Amino acid sequence: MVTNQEGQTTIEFSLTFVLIMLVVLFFIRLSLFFAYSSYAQYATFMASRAYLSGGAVKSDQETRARFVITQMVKEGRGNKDRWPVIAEAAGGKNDGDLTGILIGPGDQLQQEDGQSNLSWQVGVRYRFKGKFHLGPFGGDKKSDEVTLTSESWLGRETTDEECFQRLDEMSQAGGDVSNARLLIDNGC
Amino acid sequence: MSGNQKKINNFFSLSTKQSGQAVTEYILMIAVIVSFYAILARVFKNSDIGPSILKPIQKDYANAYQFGHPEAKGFDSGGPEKHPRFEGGDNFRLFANPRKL
Repeated sequence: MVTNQEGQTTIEFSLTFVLIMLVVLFFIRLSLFFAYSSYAQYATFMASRAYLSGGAVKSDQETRARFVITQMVKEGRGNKDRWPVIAEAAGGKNDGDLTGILIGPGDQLQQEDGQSNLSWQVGVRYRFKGKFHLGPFGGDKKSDEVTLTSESWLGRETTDEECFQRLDEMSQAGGDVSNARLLIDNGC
Repeated sequence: MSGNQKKINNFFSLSTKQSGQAVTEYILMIAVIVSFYAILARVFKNSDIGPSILKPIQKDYANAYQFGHPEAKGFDSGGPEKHPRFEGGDNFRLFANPRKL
């Protein structure tokens, strides 16, 4: 009969270690993902605010918003995610070559343009996903993923170009342009 | 007894040297532990424990994060329901509707 029981703790440790590490790493990952989601929400808001401000032309507003969001969530202002270990951009390439980012009118407003009910849907959207490796608890690959969407629909002020175009239209229609020019405040 | 017969007898005789016992037991024990873990992993994989742990984050938290309400639905997910920017039904507007002013 073996009286030496020194190996018992080692065996018990090896049996529980995997499960304990799984739980610990899951919560660390969850915390990082939540922190990133808060950061992403702030980034989306900042970009939306940059998009909101007036400019000479619409592309100025878009460039500004793109600059802000890429500076915050992308690396080197390219399409590479800043912290891909924590979260990756999700969704199709919506805005030029930037994955997960939409700048301008939202999907629904694009589909049903002119609907005043949807006029609020102008701003910035950023979609990203995180992977939670659940080890033996996980199902298929997709069930380990969490996708979040950060939206900030602050709208967009009219540009100088749009303002002048509108004034020209009023002028051609015989409207009182002199009065309209007096109304100029942040564009039109 | 010939030399070959002696070798055969030595081969089949009980060895008194037991230095390999620990290694053999170690390998057997590792095999048992790995098998146990593999069975456990298979049971867990089929039991949807993982998805049920993540479900509140995938659904409720994701909705609260996007719309501010865990039961809200967007246009892409069969809504809008409890949507903070759409009127009608159980949706509500955060801001005044200019058409009604």
